[in-house]
Amino acid sequence: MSEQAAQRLEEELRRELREAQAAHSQYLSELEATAEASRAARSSREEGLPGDLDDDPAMTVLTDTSLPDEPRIQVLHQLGPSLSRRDEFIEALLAIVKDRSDSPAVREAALQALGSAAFQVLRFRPHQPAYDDALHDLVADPVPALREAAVGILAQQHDPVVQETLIQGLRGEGSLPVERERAILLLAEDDHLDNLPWLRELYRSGSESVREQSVRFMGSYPDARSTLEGILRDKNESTSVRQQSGASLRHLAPDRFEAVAKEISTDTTDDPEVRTACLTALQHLGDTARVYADTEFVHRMQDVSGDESAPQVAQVARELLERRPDL
Amino acid sequence: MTALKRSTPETDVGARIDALRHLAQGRDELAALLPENLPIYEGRSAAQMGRLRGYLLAAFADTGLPDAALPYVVESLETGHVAYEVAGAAIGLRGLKTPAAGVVAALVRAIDNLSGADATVSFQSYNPAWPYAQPTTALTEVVRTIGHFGVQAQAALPRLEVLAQQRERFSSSVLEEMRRVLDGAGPGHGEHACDAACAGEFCGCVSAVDLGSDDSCCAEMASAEPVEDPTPMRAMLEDQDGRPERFEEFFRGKPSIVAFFYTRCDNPYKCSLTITKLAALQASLEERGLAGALKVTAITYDPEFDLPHRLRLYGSDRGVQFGKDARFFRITSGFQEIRQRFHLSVNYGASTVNRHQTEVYLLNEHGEISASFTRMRWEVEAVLSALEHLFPKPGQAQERAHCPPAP
Amino acid sequence: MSKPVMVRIRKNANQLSPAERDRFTTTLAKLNDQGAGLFKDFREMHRQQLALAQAHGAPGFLSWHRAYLLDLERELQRLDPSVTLPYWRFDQPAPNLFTADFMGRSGALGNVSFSGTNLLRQWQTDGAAGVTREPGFNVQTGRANVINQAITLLLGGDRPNAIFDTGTDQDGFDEMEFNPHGNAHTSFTGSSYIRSRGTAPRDPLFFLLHCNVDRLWARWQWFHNRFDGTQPNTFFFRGSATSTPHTDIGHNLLDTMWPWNNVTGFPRPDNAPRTPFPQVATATAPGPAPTVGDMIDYLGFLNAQSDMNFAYDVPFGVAPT
Repeated sequence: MSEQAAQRLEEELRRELREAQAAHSQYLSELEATAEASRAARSSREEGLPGDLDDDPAMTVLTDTSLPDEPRIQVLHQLGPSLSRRDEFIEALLAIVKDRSDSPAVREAALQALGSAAFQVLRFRPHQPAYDDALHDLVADPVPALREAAVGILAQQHDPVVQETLIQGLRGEGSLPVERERAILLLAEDDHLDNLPWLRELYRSGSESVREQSVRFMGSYPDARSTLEGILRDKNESTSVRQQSGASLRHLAPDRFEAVAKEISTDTTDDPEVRTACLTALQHLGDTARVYADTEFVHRMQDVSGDESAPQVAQVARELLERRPDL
Repeated sequence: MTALKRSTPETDVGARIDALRHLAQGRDELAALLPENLPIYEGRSAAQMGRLRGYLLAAFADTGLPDAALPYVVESLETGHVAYEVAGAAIGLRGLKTPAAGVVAALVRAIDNLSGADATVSFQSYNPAWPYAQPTTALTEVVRTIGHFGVQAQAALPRLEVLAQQRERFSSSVLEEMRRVLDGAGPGHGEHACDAACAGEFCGCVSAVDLGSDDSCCAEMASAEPVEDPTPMRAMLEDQDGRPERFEEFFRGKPSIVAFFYTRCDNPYKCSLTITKLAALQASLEERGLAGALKVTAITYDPEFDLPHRLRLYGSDRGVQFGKDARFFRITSGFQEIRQRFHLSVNYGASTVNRHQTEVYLLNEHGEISASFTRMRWEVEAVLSALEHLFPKPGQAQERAHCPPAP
Repeated sequence: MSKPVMVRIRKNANQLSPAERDRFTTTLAKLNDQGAGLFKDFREMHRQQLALAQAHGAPGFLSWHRAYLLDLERELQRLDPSVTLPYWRFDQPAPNLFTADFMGRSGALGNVSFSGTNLLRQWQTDGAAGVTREPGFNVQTGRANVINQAITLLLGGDRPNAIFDTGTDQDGFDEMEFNPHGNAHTSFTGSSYIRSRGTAPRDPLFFLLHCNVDRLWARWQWFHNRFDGTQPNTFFFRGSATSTPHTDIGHNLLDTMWPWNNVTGFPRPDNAPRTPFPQVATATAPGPAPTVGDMIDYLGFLNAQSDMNFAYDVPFGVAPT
């Protein structure tokens, strides 16, 4: 970059920062006015604020449930970084999330803010149990987005309480907090559960995207090997599902995948995308030396590389041949 | 009472625990439910196992804690990473009036293990629905148990004093419990007052290791007397490079150490730590010129999933140097044989391990178990010490390993 | 100021050429090697509570992640020297990023699909295949719910010389850990891997997210001339974990950083997956056990020996005012 370009860049950035600073100052003025009005209104309603929050316009506005959503959510967006270090801010967010009478939009914004705060691991430690408690409360919340978010976060942590709720729901022993397909996939994130029967159910009944997810998770279960091979070979199945099935088969049984992938990649009647995915995996992963040592396969690749009826496959075949180690 | 079976619903097992906690002979029957390799635990998920274990351990607070149950309690404190199980162990420990050796250290270790991972739990009933009527947290129960032992846990109080001032680390309920225990202990507890601002480990404060944790050579010792060869095993193995090996052939001719593990273990204080220590042991042997004295091996509980490349990766990631006498194996046939030979404390859900203990074994040159380091934390020095006692260098008399009396 | 040696430039992921994109995805997938590759170490470094404590919620956050990214990038460059880590400019739409040919196209219920030539199809972490990712924004036209770059650079208060973490009023540039960093993560919903701190590295997008975090820090450094860690306006806790004042271990200027320092046992984790820090012929920094402070002068402005041989496409080679 030339010096002039750098100078222009610096000037541009300074201008941006001045504008941002001005906008921020404007926002702080407006916030102060909103906070003043809020205090007055609360005073007239004879509602008090905890003393240490009373002077802080951000906290005053954030905790006033009679205000519209927008100024409250703006507090989170504009001032969240500086507020995030304060215990009372986290506690206020927890209170908002748990308050079912509060606005769903503000509650969702507060939940996102809590998730962001949770990344500050050392600072967040004292709040972790209360955060988990709030998430557990949300599992039965009437707002679907909050319910779904909480169940998703807890399930990803392999939370046994939410897992049990989902399992009971799938068995018909209780209500499901999320749709059935989502419940199965959330449980599938924990490979120490007995998920294979649910995944098979999902594969039989789901959309293409859901079938792709189900075969993805089947890759954690050695008992699913033959199923995955069958799906990979199934020319009636969608490209994307077959490709994922191949990846899952390779994960469980790389030798078996290698054999099947070689067949498919040289089958000129098969789907080009699936053939391409097989070839890509063969040339880059695992024991590539063994792949190249298979002279019959390499010979078939030479035919494939010249087959312009499947140009993408031909291209990948040529790449494979170019990478062949010198003999 | 009807016998519990693998098909017994989880809630019925919970009900059995509740029934036993009120019976005179309850504590021994509860203890009999602890081994994870019992048939009643076959097919259950890891989550179920965690719930059952936590609830079972907590029940000992009502019945008293028998000696047979103590290792399980200490195990859950030392290696538990889920709040419910740790809480259950801490509660169950209150079935003792006097803390056994290593118990206080285990409690302090649990505080470190769960820092940042504490959670609300409840033992009001088995698997209660949320919200809990009687909530508590794991760390609250751990601290409460330190308080339960009173003056007998005095060694932990200076550390607790430091922790009680770390407001940025613990929730208010845990801090309150710490304060309550410290206030109950009275002034002047312990002579090692620590600077409240210090970071604990760097200013001479008492650490978990100093609290009398039993890291001696007191492994379970099989008889050191010569025995006839046991029935030869037919089990076949495959190593991290895909080479087949017969169990009988490999584990002969030289003593071996065998650790059991699996690559999908999600408890950082069990398998990952076991193999990390195995690598450290290997390095120590090298430093002492004993590299050729012992085969260093590990066997996976999960042979269907833990293919050779996964075995190699798991070991090398943790510092294991593979070689002729340093190998990881999966069992390709004869798994039940090995399971019985070692009395493996493992069980399985639908597709993988649902629970296991830490288990490391020293085998002699005939492949017989000479020493075991199971359930509780083991240290490299303890294994080296056992090695020296059991397999002395030529010219040294073989002695039975001698463990100092418990404090 | 000019640079006499080739500096590896990190670029905007949304502007990569198809060839650059494919080299990156192929190399990253090879490093993953379906769970059998070195990538596993990087995943493990950002998983358990004690490991996360080494890098989050205290001032070492930015240094640790700078080292983390550089470590990964050097491993990628062992496989393909032409590859650098691209950054996801999360305060702008990035439609080219969320495609089947790049970081994957999200479908129903968090399913992420890749094209046949995209080796990320073989991605595997924690014993399971693929990625779960549900964006909370329209990936074609929208952006993450984060403060924009200009506001980020103003973090630390109204003063023109923003201070990187004080011990008094707690204002500092590292506030960005909450937003935009935290908000970039939480702009994905539910069970998305990237949404939670313990699972985030399971999604390869995580590294592009953090590359932008690092770029923002680099930008802040450049704009405010913050390359000297010994100055109070760059770093507050300038001693070690036993100094007065001090903060958590691993977050003071003179503290070495886990795992590269190979220190294990509480308060560090029980093992150290990556140690020592990889050394390369093209740069002498950082050393095998870098400190928090070692990561600050990454361009070698104060000390040429500190040059780590990477930079961002904007601005490169510009001396601070």
